[in-house]
Amino acid sequence: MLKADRIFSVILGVISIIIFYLSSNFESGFIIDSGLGADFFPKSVSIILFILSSILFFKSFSTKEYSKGIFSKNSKILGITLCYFFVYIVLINIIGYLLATILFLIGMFKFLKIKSNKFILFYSLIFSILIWYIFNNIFNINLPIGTIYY
Amino acid sequence: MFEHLIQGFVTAISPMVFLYLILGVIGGVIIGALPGLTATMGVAILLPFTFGMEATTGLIMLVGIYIGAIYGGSISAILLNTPGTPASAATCFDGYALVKRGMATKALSTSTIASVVGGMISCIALITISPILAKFALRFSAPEYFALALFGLTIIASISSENFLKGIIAGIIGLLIATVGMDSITSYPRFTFDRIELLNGFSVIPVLIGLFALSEAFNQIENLFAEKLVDVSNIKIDKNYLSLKELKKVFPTMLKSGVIGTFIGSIPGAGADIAAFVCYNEARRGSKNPEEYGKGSLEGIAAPEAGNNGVTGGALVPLLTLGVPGDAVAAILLGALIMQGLTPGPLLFEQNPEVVYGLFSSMILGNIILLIVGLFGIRFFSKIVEIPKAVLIPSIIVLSTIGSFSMNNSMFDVRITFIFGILGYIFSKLKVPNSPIVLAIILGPMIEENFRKSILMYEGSLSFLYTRPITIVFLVLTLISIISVLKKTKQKN
Repeated sequence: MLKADRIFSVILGVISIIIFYLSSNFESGFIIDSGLGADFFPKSVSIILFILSSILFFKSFSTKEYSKGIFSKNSKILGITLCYFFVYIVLINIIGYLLATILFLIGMFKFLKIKSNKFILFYSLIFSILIWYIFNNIFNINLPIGTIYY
Repeated sequence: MFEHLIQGFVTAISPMVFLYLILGVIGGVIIGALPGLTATMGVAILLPFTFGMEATTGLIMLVGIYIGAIYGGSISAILLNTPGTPASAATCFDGYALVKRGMATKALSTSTIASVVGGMISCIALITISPILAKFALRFSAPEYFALALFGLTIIASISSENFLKGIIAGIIGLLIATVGMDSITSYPRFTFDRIELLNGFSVIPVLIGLFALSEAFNQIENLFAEKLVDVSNIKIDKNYLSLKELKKVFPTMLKSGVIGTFIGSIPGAGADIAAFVCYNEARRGSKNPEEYGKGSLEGIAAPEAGNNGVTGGALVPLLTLGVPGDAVAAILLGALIMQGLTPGPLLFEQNPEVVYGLFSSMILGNIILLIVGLFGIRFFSKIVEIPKAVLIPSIIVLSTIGSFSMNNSMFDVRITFIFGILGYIFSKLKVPNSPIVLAIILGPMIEENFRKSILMYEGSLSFLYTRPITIVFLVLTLISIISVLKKTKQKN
């Protein structure tokens, strides 16, 4: 945890410096002298973030707690899920929402070791079609049809 | 006021609206009952279903989901000893003890009645207090709003995390996220990297869905193969409901907890989980038989359940009157209000009384529906908790995707949800709480805009910080909340 805190605080510190630098480049075309420009708030917040992340950084040295990694072996399952999800998002644009959702659900259920193929097929089809129907036909939201069909 | 309230009831009982309210309550109960799915997640993933509806109808359905989800958490707490939502963690102690003694129906019916009593008390408080508070808040100007938002943010950061530093860091991250987009006063595009989609900043709803629904799903999927399958086949559901005699005995506890819950709910940042624990401890402290607590005491179920449902109305008080969300769920409701083109705050009572009073009356009706669903649905509940996570999690991902898409018909928002889902997951691993981030995204623009407006009002001077009484009160409260947390942290060390 402490090692993770240290890395986290360094990342936050770097982000705060970048934000401060970027906000310094904001053009201040403000007419009234007494007004604060667009850069005031992000600059102040980035300074506070820098101070807080420094405290977190130094604190991570002073406490003697058992340090262990934050990710477990099981993170692999999550990694694969994220890949599936990413592909799903890409596929929605290409083959359309309905088909992509059906494929995503079938793929995920197979990966998560659901045994009954009948259930997988039945649930994926019904769930996807139901969601698609509700949003497309009842709420009139135009879900992506897919670029492949043009 | 009564005229508006009656008008509100007329809206809420029109067939379609009433149907959506019933569906909302049932949907909320189901999501709340699923172990590991929080009420916040429930509202976040069901929110998109209200996008296509008219403003009042959509909000009424959301309120139904909220009431149902907070109650639903008690079902898995009682049947499985696993709280469906953190708000029901205190219900496990006595609820599961009763189940082990073969009295599942009694435990569930106690929790239903307690939830409804708590909910009703909070409705009454909401209906009576908020119009008065809204009238008072009409006097607020930029400096008061600045101080109020600042107070809301510090109290949220201090309550929501065991580690104050990380709570505040979470709040600051939220404030930075809130700066993306066109500056509200000078219209200068900040951190938009020439993307048109970012000109209006991050849309709150996709960020919320990412942080609360997706990140939870990611957390759950990690332990999927390690968890045992739920088996409730040995739990006996009979007809042994809470008797009138027992109800008479626990009723005072329900009333007291409902009042405490409502009060806690109305404090920005303190939500249902805190209310439940405070009510449980308070009931045990004042009980004639404290030794029974943890062994299947009916009061031990009634107190946290009346307390956490008491929060539902309480959390809406600051949301509707001041535009400051009381907890994470209220933050989502705020997002929904804004999406429907409404501005929460004192003016809402004057400009859109039909929405406000429609919400009030639907809360009362929602609680009555909850009573019916809760008492008659006991047999079905034992089936809901058996749904395996391997089926749930992919479904949540699909719902999150369509939810973020349907807000602006944009795949860009889906990608935002994806990114915030991963960020939320990493934050939870680092023990950085998610709620301050979201509340800061909402309060950030309020803090910035009102601070800069105040400076303009006072022609560059900071004197508004110490010359306006209400502003001073809020700033002093902010200081007190920071100092008390710092003191507590010191004591711990």
